[in-house]
Amino acid sequence: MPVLSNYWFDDPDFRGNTTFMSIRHPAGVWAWINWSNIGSKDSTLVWEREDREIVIDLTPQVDTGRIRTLIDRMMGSSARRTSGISAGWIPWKYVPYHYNRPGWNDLDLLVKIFFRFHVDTPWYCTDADGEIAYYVRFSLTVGGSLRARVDGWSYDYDGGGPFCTGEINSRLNASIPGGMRTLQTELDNALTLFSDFRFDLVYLLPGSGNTSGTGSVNVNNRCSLALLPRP
Amino acid sequence: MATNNQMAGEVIQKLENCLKDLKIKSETQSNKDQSIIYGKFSLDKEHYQLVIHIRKEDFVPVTKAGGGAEIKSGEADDEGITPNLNFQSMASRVKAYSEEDGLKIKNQFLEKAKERLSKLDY
Repeated sequence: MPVLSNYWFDDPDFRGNTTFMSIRHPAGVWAWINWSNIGSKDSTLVWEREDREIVIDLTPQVDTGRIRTLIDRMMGSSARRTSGISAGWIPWKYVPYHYNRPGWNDLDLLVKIFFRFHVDTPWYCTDADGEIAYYVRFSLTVGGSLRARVDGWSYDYDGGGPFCTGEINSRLNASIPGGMRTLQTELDNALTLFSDFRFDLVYLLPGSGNTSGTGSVNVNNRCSLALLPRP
Repeated sequence: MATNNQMAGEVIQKLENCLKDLKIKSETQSNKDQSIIYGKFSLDKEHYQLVIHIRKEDFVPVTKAGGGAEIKSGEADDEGITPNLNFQSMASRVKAYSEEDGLKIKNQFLEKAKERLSKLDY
């Protein structure tokens, strides 16, 4: 029996803290969704989820010892990772390097893989703390094969003043863009699992993609990859 | 700043001389937008840090950056579907299966995936 999943987002354009509810729902009948105290929400989504749906919670896939080690090695002495690795969704229009791109829509969803970092500075500057992110675009080929491409990177931090931001930026610019290749290699390796399969649809779901009950999650920090395999 | 702004360079020089006269050991760093003079000294058993920061008034420090990967020619030629929130564009591509068939497809996928995972060295 299909599952009807409802998502209510704190922010416009389906972002931020997300309250969700999933109920089994046959065709031809009303679905009862009683929210007496949903709070202030700025966007909602509903999806009817097929019985053949495959869901992959992405954060546990990226926040592994192996990938943490790869990231730490990639950053070297430029910065120190201070959090685990998260994977959330982000509409294209909110990606920091967004531009008008042929064939892309502002509400195309990328997966943002990110972590916090710290940079020690000399005593006459404040230390820097911020976030480094990579953006991944999943897709199906016309033939139904699953692809994942690292589309870009970004960093954003506080501190480093009054004089050290230039040096911090130089070090980050020298190491962060190169991480795209490392991440792409990891994705390519992971996708070999799917090389023999073909799919009708690929989409993202907030959180772990729960199929029953209620809960809340911040979709900016956690999302799942959903696939509809062909027989 | 110190190289193309004579006035600022003179100010820095005078400050350095002043600190030297006060017997405060200091160092100076400069780039095209700002300079910093810094040092430490002690006075009456108290320890002090000194930082003098000179910058152009309209200078805004950059603390964020980002960029896209190079797009190879033809890379997206066979791109069919990507996750998006444009529901209408996705709906027409999906064939509906009965609950029984849907579960069968899912279970077949999981069995094959498990078998494949056991063979992959990953």
